[in-house]
Amino acid sequence: MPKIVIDKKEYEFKDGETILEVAWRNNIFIPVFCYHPKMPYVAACRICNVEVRISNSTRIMPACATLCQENMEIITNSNVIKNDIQKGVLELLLLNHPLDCPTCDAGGECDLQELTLRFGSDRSRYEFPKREFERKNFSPFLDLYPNRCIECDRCSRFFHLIGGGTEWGTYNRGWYEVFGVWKKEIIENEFSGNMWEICPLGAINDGSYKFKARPWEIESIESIAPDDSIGSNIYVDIRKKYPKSRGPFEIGGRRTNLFKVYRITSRDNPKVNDYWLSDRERYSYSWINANNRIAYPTIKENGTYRSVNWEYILDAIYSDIKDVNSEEVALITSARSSNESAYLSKILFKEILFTENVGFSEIGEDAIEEVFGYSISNATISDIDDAKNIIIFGDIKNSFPILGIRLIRSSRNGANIFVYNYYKERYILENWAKGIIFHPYEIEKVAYELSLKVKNNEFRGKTVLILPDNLPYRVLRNLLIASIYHDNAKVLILRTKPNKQGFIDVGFKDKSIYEIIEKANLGKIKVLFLWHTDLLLEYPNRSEIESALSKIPIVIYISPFADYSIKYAKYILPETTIFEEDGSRTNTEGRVQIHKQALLNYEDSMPSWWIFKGLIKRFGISLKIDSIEDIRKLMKKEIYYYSEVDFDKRPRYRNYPPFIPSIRKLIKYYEYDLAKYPMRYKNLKLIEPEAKEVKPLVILSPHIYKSSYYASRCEIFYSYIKPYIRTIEANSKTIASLSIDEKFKLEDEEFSIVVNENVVDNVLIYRPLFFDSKINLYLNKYGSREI
Amino acid sequence: MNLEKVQELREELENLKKIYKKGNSIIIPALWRVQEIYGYLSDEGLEILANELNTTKEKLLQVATFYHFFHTKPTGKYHIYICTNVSCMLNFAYEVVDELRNILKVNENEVTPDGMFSWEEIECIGLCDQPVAGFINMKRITNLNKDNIKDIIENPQNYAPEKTKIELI
Repeated sequence: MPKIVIDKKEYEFKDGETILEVAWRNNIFIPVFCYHPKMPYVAACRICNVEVRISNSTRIMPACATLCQENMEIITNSNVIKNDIQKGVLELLLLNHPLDCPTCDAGGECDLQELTLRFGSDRSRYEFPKREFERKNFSPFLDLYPNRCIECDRCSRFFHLIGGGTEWGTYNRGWYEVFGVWKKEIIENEFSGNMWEICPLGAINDGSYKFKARPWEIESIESIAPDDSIGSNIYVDIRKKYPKSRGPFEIGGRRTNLFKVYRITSRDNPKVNDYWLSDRERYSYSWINANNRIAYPTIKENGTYRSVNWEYILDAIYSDIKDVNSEEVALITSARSSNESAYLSKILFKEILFTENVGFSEIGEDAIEEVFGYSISNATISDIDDAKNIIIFGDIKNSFPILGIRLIRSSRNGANIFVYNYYKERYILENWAKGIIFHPYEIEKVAYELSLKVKNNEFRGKTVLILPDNLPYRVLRNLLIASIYHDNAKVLILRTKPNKQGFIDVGFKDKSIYEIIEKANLGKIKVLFLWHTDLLLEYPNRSEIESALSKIPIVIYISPFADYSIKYAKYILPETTIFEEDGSRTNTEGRVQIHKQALLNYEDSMPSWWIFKGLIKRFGISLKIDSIEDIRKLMKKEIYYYSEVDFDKRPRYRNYPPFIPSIRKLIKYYEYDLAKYPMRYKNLKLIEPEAKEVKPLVILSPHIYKSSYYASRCEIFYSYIKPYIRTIEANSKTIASLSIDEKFKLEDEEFSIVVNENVVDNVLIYRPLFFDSKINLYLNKYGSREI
Repeated sequence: MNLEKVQELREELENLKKIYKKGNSIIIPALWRVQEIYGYLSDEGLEILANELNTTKEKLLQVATFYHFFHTKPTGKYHIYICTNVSCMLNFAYEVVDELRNILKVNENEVTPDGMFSWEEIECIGLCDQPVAGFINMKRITNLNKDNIKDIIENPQNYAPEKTKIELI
């Protein structure tokens, strides 16, 4: 390997590496402002200048932008560099920088402050008035101070290259150079929150963290973003737990500060979120102190509520459920709890109560297991990076926003991206992807045509299909079969519930919640566990669900929040949330990730594994579980998928099932001997679609903030949500074709109709709000209805 | 939408595309054409440009605001620059500027009510041997003083045409 000399020591380098990369890898400190490891360099700030000597000539070059060559000699700590370059650059950068560090939120974690202290001069020779800009706020997420800017260009590089946005930029030149938005009121990019994190000083600050705390008072706890099943890695920043001798922080601090999240910052995991976070993941944490958190275990007796202790309520539940038939017990959950809780609940429901009525989502039939033989995607998230063709069903921006960063990147690298949806979403409108929009009744036909294309290898090169798991059964099945026949196709299944993969891994099988509700309506269910979900908020068929819930005598409601279905509950058990408990989660690609307890339990709430442990114990089975580690040991012993997961170290993939190669390779392997050919593949044939007449249809479609279980509880998103306005979007042709009766029907339900030409003909899109107490739609099974 | 101007801009762009074939090299000449046709970088012109060149309006504006000779606000039919750098300043450039302000009764970068004039101070334009120097519609005017600036404003057509085409290399 070629070598360079840095400060009289030899180091190896690879072709194309810069001086800075080699130096940092070998722990040689070179200061930077504009360089960011995840973005291309610009060499704007010049603080990283070093002396470079090649064949007896010495020059001063920026380390971040100079490629290594053989026989290069580099000096990072000579007198010239220290006294002239670094001091001089800092003096220049500080010319216009205001001296407001005591009131700046970045104070204490500011690169400019630190490097000035280390290399800078203690006084400035500049005597004239400083430049001043008008201050504007473009976003509730950001707090902007353009006077402090040193023109490093990190924010606009991020915004253009990684966020894929256009409106943000640096305008003007030299003295008057300033970042901002041109003639616009608000930034609409869903990654804008990253800009404060990469800003090397306090020019862009976190809007939600404004004047809350100082960096040295804060402790960062590793955790996982709870909103979607990608599981972006985050740090939860909380107030440091000082020892008792540090009196003033303890007084009054104990009850308030240890229950409060100060902010969320990103944790680098190149395989998952790749350092970045979406705004939904970054700013949704104030739900932790929502008004409707449940404080104490409560029993409803004769119409009145009574708070009781845990032992009493678990005894009471046990005496109610011990004699019930296994067919009459049901569990509905949205899979938002940890793997450990899932495992203990599996013991309770599958091995003690023997129930099969377990539902996670609207569509329960599992096409994945039928085709693959196991229920997990065979692509990873990082497979998107080097794919030639990416085929997406559904809306990425609104459901899995963080994947957008990878899509933009691979689109830049020349991948062909195809998005199949009912309306043109961001990635189609901004030309990152080709859009195929269709009416929902044509979904089977469109998917069948696509499956034929995939099966016949019309997509050349590595192909990744990104499919949400709530696609209709036939659609999903056809696409999965087609992917097996393709030479080089992989499928990334996106779980629509955050920890659904974990729940399936421990041994649950998803059944449609509507089957359970039908049974309940016939009076066949006596005991229903509602676990971390609210049926009335999450599913559209409100009247049917309400009548079903009122027919069940014993509803056990386990949740952190008191939502609408709580009024049907007999037993109310407060559960801790992800930030208040230790645990692990499995994300959509099968990666087991750990989250640690950051806050104290809210009042009397307990982790759900503790609740299920108590119930199991009352059935006379002692599991010898004292802590979360004991459950992990049990899981490693009992469940194949977790047998090699090391929970103490950095999270990793769970075991994969034996890999199924593509069918063409199989045929080669068996030398065309179909007798040896695995039986299962013989029956896998594409199902032809049924033709359906196209009619006007109301579709429930996700919204990035509105339809998230957690984010919709946070006030910071309300400038984007507009909570009290209910709108239906449709194109002008559809609106014109509606009869007066139909329009009247919509207006009767307090909708206002908005023209949006990006929606396909004959479709009306309604984006439901979680806290819409008046919602009274009679939507059918798949979240749609004819009008 | 001014259809004539749009048509003209499209034709100009077609010609430019034959000359500037690589990457972003077409942006600055194209911005010049917009400014000639509209008098300044209008939203309409920039949107057409962004569509034709497959970029965004904001990106074009970031380029445009870097340079002094591009205007993002409307200008008069005749736009006057006065150099106020060292050698012009020593020859009483600020007297010329004050005189302009008195006659036109508008501040820097504002347009007179009849839409005829606007003016602006600039940095050195390399005519230090004939101070005070300046431009009117990108045609140079030199040896300015309090008196001959009046003549320029009375008969601007003697000094420059209403539209000056920038010759590009």
